[in-house]
Amino acid sequence: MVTINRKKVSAGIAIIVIILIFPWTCLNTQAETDITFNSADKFSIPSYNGAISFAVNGTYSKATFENDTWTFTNLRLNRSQPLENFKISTQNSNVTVFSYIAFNTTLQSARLRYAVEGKGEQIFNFGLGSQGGEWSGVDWSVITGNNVFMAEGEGWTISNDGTLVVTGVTGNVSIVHWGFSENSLPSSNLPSYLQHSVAIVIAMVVAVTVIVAIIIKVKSKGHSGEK
Amino acid sequence: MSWETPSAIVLPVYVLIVLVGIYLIFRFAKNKTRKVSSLRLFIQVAAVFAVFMGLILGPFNVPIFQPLGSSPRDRLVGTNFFGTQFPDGLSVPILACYYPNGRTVTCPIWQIQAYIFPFWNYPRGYEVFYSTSGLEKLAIVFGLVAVVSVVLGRFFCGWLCPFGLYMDVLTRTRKALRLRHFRFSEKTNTALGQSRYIIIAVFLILSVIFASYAIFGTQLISGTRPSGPEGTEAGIVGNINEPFCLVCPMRPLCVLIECGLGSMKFSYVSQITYGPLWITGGYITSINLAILIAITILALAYRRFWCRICPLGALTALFSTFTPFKQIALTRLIKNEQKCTKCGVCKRVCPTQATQVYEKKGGDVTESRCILCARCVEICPYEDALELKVAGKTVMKSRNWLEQQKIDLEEK
Repeated sequence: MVTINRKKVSAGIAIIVIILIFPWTCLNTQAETDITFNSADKFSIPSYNGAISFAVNGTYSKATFENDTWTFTNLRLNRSQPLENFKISTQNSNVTVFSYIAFNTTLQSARLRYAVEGKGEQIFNFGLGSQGGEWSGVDWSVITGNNVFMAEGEGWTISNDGTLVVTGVTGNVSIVHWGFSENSLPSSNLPSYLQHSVAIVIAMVVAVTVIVAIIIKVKSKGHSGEK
Repeated sequence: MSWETPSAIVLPVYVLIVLVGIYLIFRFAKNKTRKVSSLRLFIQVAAVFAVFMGLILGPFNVPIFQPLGSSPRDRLVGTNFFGTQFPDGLSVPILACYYPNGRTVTCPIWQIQAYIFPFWNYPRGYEVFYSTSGLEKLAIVFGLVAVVSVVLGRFFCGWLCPFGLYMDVLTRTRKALRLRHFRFSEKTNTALGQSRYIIIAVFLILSVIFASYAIFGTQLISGTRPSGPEGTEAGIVGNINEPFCLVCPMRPLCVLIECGLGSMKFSYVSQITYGPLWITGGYITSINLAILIAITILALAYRRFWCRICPLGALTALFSTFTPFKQIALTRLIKNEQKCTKCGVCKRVCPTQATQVYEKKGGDVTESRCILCARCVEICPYEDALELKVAGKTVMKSRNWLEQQKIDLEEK
């Protein structure tokens, strides 16, 4: 019925396993200059009577404190996608950041989750740049722990430079932003073959498949004829 | 649930498990006439995990998808690779329903219906933007289906389709309950097979009729004019622009299972049903629920009942068993006339009652009803009488397992 060369199969499986595992081992490599932190570390803002901490371990390239705001460069929370230029501050409250996750699909989105202790004000800037323009389309949502979507202006505001301020909220909070990167949006500046690259590639695949199938068919008929 | 699992861990582990499983089945399966069936069952289960890998990878509890509950759609293959040109997911000819959370590929039937609708210049679909016209996306879908059908034919139906697995599980359940199955007469079975093409034609025509305002600027049926702003998702007529999905049994099956697992919120699903008795709705309707129940009962009586009338199977068969595609299709079932004794075992075991394997004297016996499950090859007791060939190479052939069984018994 089915004849299997076990040695070849075993060797093939071993090679595939090595290939699959290899990239994962590389993921553990971090930039040597990155600084690690854990949940015990506190980033205080004394003049604002506030402090920032993280519920998970993480790394950053640089952290600076200026104008009562902490700025993190390449912040990763438990191997999350990096926040390249993340600014955070808090007044009269303590913030514990739980997680950050981002999608880079057509509908780009990201979510930051944190907990607030004390009724104060939290200020964030994700380094996304300003709103406005037809295609920058960055939308924001602030959701409290009871899955209540807060309307803009009632508990939070966003400024033109992308600084989001949440006021008077305690407990668990999620900030979500979604929008479209200029790279993934349709652009008439791209050459036509790039605008329709998927269709072109599929057409080529169809053509190649048909050609190969015809060749195989002709060869098979030739072998049958010889027999 | 609020955990996230890196793809870099899950995907290699998944591939490893699949490879090891395949090896173990080949190495240790004792019953020679069940080895391929066991392998097929394993691959079907693995395929379900592959199709819904997003449920494992997460992330979960993303607020943007909060109403649905847990996982986003199009996690792996959709917009990550094709961007706004083709953002709804890779077309694979299996019932990888568009609607459940966590799927990685997309049902071509949904795509064909959806792209007929935003045929002209509607740039936005459901949570995605399109930078290509409906015509171009339709060409991509048909191109992909044609390529995979030419290469592998209805192998997808027999080995990879999640609904096919559901049918096979029902068959195994029936066997466990020691109930006998029924067979359709040849005339009825042939009529069922032909009905597939009528079903797909009817629903595609309905898609065009419902999309008439978008395509022609006039309603062919009143009430199909988009009610929201032009060129937006709200402008797309709700619930009827994909008419086949209103009746497809795969959608309620996926949705109900995911609600049961907690990865979709039933409270949300039930909120978006409309009319008396849930006649229409975004996910579950009384119509598709009733059809699912009917198919389930019929599949307990008749093996692979849905596969006999599946329009997606019809589409795949069109590109693999009909001229001119038949001339170049690469996966074929070949019969050796000299070795066949007309014992009829192949005809009896075929789950879709494909008869050409028995009736045709020799040569290429692949037909549109055949799902290439290879059960006939597996059970045929005559050496080399049947062969499954891919690109001219034999990947499976019948063997004289009766003789081998005799030898094994004598040795004992």
